[in-house]
Amino acid sequence: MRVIIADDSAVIREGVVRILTEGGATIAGQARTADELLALVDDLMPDLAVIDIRMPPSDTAGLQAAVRIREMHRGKVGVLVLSQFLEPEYALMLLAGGSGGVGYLLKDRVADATELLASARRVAAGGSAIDPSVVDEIVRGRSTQERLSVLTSRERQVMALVAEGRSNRSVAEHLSISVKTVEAQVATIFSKLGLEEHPDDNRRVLAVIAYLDGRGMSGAHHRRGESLPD
Amino acid sequence: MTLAQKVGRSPWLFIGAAAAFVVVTHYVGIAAGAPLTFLIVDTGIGLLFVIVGAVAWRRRPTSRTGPLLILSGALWSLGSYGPTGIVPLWVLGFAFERSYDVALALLALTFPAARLSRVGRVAMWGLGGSFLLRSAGRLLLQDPPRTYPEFPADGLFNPFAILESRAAFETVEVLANAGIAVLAIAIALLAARRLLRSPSLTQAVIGPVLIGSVVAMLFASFDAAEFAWTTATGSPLIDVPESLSGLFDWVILAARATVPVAFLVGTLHLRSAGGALATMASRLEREASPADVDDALATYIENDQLATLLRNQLAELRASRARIVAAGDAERRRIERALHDGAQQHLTGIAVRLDDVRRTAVTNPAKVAEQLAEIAAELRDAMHEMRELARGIHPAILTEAGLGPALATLARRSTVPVDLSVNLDGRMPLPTEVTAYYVVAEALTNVARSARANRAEVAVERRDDGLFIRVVDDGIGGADPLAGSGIEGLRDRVRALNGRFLLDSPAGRGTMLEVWLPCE
Repeated sequence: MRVIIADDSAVIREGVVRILTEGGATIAGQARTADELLALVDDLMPDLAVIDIRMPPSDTAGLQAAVRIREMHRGKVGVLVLSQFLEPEYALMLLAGGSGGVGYLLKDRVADATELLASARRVAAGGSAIDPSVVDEIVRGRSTQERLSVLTSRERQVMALVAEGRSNRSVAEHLSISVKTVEAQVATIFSKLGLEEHPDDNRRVLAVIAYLDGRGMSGAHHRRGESLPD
Repeated sequence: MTLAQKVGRSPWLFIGAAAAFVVVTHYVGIAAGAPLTFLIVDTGIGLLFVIVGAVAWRRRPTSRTGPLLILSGALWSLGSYGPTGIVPLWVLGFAFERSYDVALALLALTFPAARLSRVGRVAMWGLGGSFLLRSAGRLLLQDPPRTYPEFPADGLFNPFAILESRAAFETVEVLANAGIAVLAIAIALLAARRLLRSPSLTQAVIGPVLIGSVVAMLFASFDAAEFAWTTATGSPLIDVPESLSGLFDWVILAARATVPVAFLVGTLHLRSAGGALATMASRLEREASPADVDDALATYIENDQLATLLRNQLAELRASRARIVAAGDAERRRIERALHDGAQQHLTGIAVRLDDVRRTAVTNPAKVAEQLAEIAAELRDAMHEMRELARGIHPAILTEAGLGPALATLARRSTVPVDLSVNLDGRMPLPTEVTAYYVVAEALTNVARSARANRAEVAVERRDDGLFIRVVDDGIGGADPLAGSGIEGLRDRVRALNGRFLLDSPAGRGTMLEVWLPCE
């Protein structure tokens, strides 16, 4: 796994480098600004770019660069955004671009080597990784709670893990239950909520998150694709 | 030197003379046996012109409005001699009948201090010329006085006549009256156009005067057209039935009386708004020492209506400024407390625990990992609090991703379920977005805190060059903007942006908040 790390803070860069190197990744390059990052990605075509959401020159440069890389190198370069914001909107914005190779983690995860490494691997391999706190933030919403009232508490747990971007196997490991049980529960959840089940994990994440956030529900419609400021 | 300046040196002499002339006309008329009602009303209107002119003159000595109005009064009274039958006054009255319309036409195009346009100048010269031609014809070409059938023709003769020719008289009469009819309409149109093209404040001041002038011009035109028509064809232009003719005369007279009244209203209006400004402007034109400016400003502010308005607005402005400052202070206190109680406590705790670890590392190394895990947990708590605090100070998502995503966050975090509908094209100016965000945030906080609502609806869309926000709930209503509910602060924010704010919260029937913010 070849990785580029972009963050204007040397401390964070070093922390991430250490965790990923210990996990067996190769650090292809490091960037301190969005422009450096874009140039490096074009040159080196890594498997993964770990990007700070806020980087010079402007507040939104990191996020813009992430979106840009998603557009230019979809399916080749995974994008893992590290953010200090517990805002599902950012994750949704990144996911909206399409399936796979995308992650949105809170910076706190830098203190949790195992989780960060697992997420990095998942994203580099074309999967998704959404921070559990972000999923929790969506699930906690009152209207979401109402809509989820048809699910049992175990089903809700499974659904949240699916929303994080985990495969059935990963969900099973996390809950210490069998993969078969997870498959059965996922099927129940999708039929209870009237969602179409996707064999593709990435589209499944998107569908679940969109559902949780109330998109595509009547009476709760807002326009997607708000453009970022220049 | 203008007419106004010439006569302006002795205005009272001029005013007195005009008034005396009107009053004398009155007595002469009665003595000559003219109908009493006619004389009272006619003379009354003449006097009204003189009085209004005197008021206008006193108010604005450099303007030609006053002298022109007084001149109108005198000319009006001269016309009143027409029906008296006194030789030679009736000839003069007949000759100069309605010549005050020339003065009114000039006022219509220049009141209160405008310059004549080129078209206006041509129309004025044309109108004046036509009146002069008519007066000359009536004065110098003799014709039996059939114009006033209510007076006996016997014994009436024209001592000024130099040529006795009915054909010449009628030709001049038709030509001059046709000219007056056309030019009076033209001036009415110019005056109307002037009114419509004025800014609204100016319209409010000159509106009554110009409308009165337009009415006067229309009457002048109608009058002249009838003279021309009657003289040319021998039959009246409009055949008013006998039963209505008395009423018809009164309507016309009443309408004419509105003209000086309109000028009175306009003059008083000038006194309230533009008058002081005009005085100030004319003073400043001459010399602009600081004392003059002070003086002029004082004159301006002395004006009651404006001063009251200003005072009220200033008081409201001061109050809202004080509230905004107080809200800022309270917010700073809240942040200080949050930092002190949250982050600082956590950091102190971590420092103490790290010191612990340093000692344990020597005495009981096996326990170090456990202690470090505790410290990591405390650090995560601290980070969480910092994140929430930062969001409370200013939601980064608003500046970075825009109003739509920021409102989605608000709706999601609300403890009352929210139906959110956002319809926006692109970004808006940041102050608009920030205010909109706080409007919705505060409204939803109120819904959750005190509305006892089951649902809330938030709709945000672009409308009328601005941003329209609507927050509705199905709660208990009765929200009081003065009860410290944060609504007052919201209103201040909205007004600071020149927005509109509407709160409707009848007890028992939910609360509706509508806000419009400009997007300039």
